[in-house]
Amino acid sequence: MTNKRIIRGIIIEIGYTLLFLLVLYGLNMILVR
Amino acid sequence: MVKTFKAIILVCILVFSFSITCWAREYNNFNDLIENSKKIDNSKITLKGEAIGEAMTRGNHSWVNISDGSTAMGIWIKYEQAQSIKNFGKYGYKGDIVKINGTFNRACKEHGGDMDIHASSVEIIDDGGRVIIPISNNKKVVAIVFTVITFALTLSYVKIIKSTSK
Amino acid sequence: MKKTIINFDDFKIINFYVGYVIIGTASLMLIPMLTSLIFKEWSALLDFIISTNIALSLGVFLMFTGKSKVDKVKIQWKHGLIIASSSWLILTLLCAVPYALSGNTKSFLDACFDVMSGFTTTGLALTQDLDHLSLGLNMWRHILTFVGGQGMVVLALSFMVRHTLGAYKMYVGEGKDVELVPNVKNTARIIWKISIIYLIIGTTMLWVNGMFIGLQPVSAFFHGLFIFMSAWSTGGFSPMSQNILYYHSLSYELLTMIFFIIGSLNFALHYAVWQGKKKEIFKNIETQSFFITALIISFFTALKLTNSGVYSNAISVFRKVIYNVLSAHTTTGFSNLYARQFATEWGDFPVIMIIIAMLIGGSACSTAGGFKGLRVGVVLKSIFAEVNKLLNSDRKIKVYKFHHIKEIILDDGIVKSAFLIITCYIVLFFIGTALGTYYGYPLLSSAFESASITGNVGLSIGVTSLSMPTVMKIYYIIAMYLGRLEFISVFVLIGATFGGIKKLWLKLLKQSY
Repeated sequence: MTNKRIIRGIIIEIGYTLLFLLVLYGLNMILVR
Repeated sequence: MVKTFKAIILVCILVFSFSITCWAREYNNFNDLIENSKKIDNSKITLKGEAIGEAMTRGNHSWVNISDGSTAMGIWIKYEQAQSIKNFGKYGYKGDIVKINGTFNRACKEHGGDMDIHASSVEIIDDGGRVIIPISNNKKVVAIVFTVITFALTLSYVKIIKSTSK
Repeated sequence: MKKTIINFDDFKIINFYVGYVIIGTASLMLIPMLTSLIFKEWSALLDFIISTNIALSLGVFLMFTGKSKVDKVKIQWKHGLIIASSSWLILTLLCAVPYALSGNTKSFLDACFDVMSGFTTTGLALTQDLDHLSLGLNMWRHILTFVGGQGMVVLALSFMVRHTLGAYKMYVGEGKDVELVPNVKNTARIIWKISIIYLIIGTTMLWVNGMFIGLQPVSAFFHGLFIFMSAWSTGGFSPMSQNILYYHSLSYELLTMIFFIIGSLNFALHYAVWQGKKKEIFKNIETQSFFITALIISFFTALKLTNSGVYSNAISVFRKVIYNVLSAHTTTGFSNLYARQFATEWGDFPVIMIIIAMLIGGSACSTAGGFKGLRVGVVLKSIFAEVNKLLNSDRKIKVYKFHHIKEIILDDGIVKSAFLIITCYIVLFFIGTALGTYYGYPLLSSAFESASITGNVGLSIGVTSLSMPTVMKIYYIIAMYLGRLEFISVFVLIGATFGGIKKLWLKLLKQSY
């Protein structure tokens, strides 16, 4: 695993997690109108 | 004339005694706050506790968490009021005991649902400071003796390994 | 299962490697020792000096008794499982010594409870007065959960072992059954590399954010370090008694969420993504399963809580509902609510949702607990497959597959083992619930706490406390241990112990004739 791959991997993981949380937050907005 | 005067004094006493019962209830055990959170939501209360950790300043206000010995509550106070708290509880230190008057929120809308108290007044009841933690002599002796034993064991093990591998 | 027979040579091998693991863990004690030294916490320093000596002496002694046989007897599966399961037990006792000496635990049992809670990355604590705890002891608690997550055995393996074949057997005993790379020593090294890199990144991010929310630089660093170690290992310990509520901060909570979610992912998934296969995140059965169950549980829990008026704005729902649901689902155990609030404010339905989330748990081969998403996914797919088989004509034979790093056929063996382990967890959960109700705790509260223990979560509804009956404390310790090691290695340990005792007994009887 090269350093570049590692950095990309971390960014991907954090990115997708944030996306997931955004989806859940969007859920709230719908529920609490 | 005297009769009116007496009546006025009587009325004053009555009014006064009623307003005392409406003053904020004082809480020393924070578990009561949690158990009765729905009942006392949005009401004025008084509580006393030891300031712990540190004051977290955010703009004009600060968060100070105070503890009753087992549970801690978050207090939202003005920056200047936080400055008056000099000692915070941690290892080897006892924090100032503060008395807070404020509004209790079960799920504060301003603070994302946190259970907190927005303080109107902050009063230092008791100063904190350094606490000397006593170390028993037994501990010191045991520590030294055990260290010696460990060294001896490790050295003999290393020696045995070296002799068997020859 | 094959009948396991133990003789003295086996004991010696086991002793040697257990001693090895003990020394590895004892050397970890140097970190809190150094911390206490730097911050002049003299009492704590002595506690750690004493504890380290006890552990090192025992470790050296055990290695000494096994030294002679180490190159002569081949290590087998049974050795690996017994080494893993017995190391955990011995280390629980040894690592409890600093707690016991500190005076912050009311009994040695409470200290052992906290250690087991740390090792299994559960997160329930019986340690008192957390807010005045020494930096050294807090460092120790969080190291225990960080290292426990990676498995103490993996720790010893990656830095010290010379016999690779033997190493693989010990590793599987730990409850992580995916091999990232054929060579176990390398797998261990990679797991550590991933964890250390995230440790540096995560601690830094939390440190900086800590200072932004008003913490002083030095304390922000330690809070960051401790909270990261706890989040990544899905542990749930926190240096303060209010857990995450202490920080009163959305940004801090957001960071912890990111790290505990990523930390709950399968290490094989990390490896695949870091190798460049980012599609794995979508295709993997565990992430799919987690996404679906997290979404459904969050939705219904939030729906109920907003309808009943407990929370009224979007941010509150996100911070109080979504946060705690995800904390439960990843089996982390961080909370920004007081334990009793689950009982007094949430109501029955949301509590049941949390219980389900805790039981389903996170990914396999990770620090998370519970049934594991892999098994839930396998079970759901197998039900789907069975129904389809019944509906379709007999002539067509469809092969069902699922994706977990690679395409795997959904065969009966896999389905059977998934159902088996899930059943074991459910039994453990029910016993814990029944025990709680026996001692007078309300049903849902008993169930909540039992699910938290069984899934190594760490959320509490208030049952775990000093005044909890001793029997419950002991049961919880055993349940945390069984849940983390996923039953099999402990069953082997019990079987081997009884098998060994039986053999010894027979030998003695023979000699007396």
